[in-house]
Amino acid sequence: MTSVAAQADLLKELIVGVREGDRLSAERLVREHDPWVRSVIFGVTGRVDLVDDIAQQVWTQVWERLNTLEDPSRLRSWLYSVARNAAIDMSMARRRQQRVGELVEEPPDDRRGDHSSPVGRVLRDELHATLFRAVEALPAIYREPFVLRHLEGWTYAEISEVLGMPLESVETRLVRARRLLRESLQDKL
Amino acid sequence: MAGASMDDREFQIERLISRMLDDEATVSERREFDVVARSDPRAAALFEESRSLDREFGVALRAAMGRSVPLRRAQRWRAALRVIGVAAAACLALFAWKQPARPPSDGRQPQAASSWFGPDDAQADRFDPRSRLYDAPIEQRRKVDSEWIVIPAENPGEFMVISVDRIKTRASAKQRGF
Repeated sequence: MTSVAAQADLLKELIVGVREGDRLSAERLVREHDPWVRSVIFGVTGRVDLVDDIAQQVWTQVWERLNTLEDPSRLRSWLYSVARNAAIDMSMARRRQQRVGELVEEPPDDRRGDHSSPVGRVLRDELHATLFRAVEALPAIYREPFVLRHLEGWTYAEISEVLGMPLESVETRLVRARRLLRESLQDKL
Repeated sequence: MAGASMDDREFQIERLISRMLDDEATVSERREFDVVARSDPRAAALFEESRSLDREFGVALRAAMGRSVPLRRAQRWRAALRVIGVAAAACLALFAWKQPARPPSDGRQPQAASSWFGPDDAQADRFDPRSRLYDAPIEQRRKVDSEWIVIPAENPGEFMVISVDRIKTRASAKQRGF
């Protein structure tokens, strides 16, 4: 059996386990996929402070809708669309709330005040805070592949599969992301 | 569109650099870039700049997302040495504990439970630095964050191993405009 076929079987087994309510399978599913789901959420929203809330929503939706996943080998693409839609919905909702002034929202940079967390400790470093702000400011179409590449270490093929775009587009977006970042950092470093 | 204004050659160089940084470049593309870098110092400089930025972006993103930040080589060595130091100290302590106490030369029986790990009332826990059996502490220093002090105990073959964690300071950021 090829490794691809073996992986597909393992994935199928995992999904069946989750559908049948096996707690260990559910834990494994979250453990293996939660990190990159979070990267997608950050890639779409550019807001690290929204990631926890949206990730929670995503996993709730996954439990509710897992029966609609027909082909377990498409899990990653399916999870990506759930995460992406949840991230877009939440971003739009937040924007509406901000517009009508119903919510005084903390700017993302306020997370740097959290000195007790690893986030706070490292973001106090001037260089990393500047770099992170530059990534936040990237347009989402460039930020998404950039984050999946730099945070998850995914190959172009993996990014292309999940984002549902040609390999060349992934490559071009990464080139442009790097160029935009260099330009935005030119006077800051 | 941002890319439409890119000069074609410049874009091709950036594309090559991007592929190299992402481990996607083929052998022939690597060779091609080597040739370009030798003839165009700007391309070589751009590669170096992009490589160093890429590394830092990875660290910044991982930190912001609450992921563990990969240790640099020196930090990895220090961490490994620390583990080795702890293991060595543990082995030494175990060895000292298991070593049977030799009877005193005057023929008296050795005291029972004469170990640092013995019960609270163990005789060996009495440590009198003025005793004639006392030797100056042997301080062992290593180039790690932890230091180990080995003090011979009252009975032969017994030692107390003290681990001291030094506070290490480093500059974390350069501030301007104070």
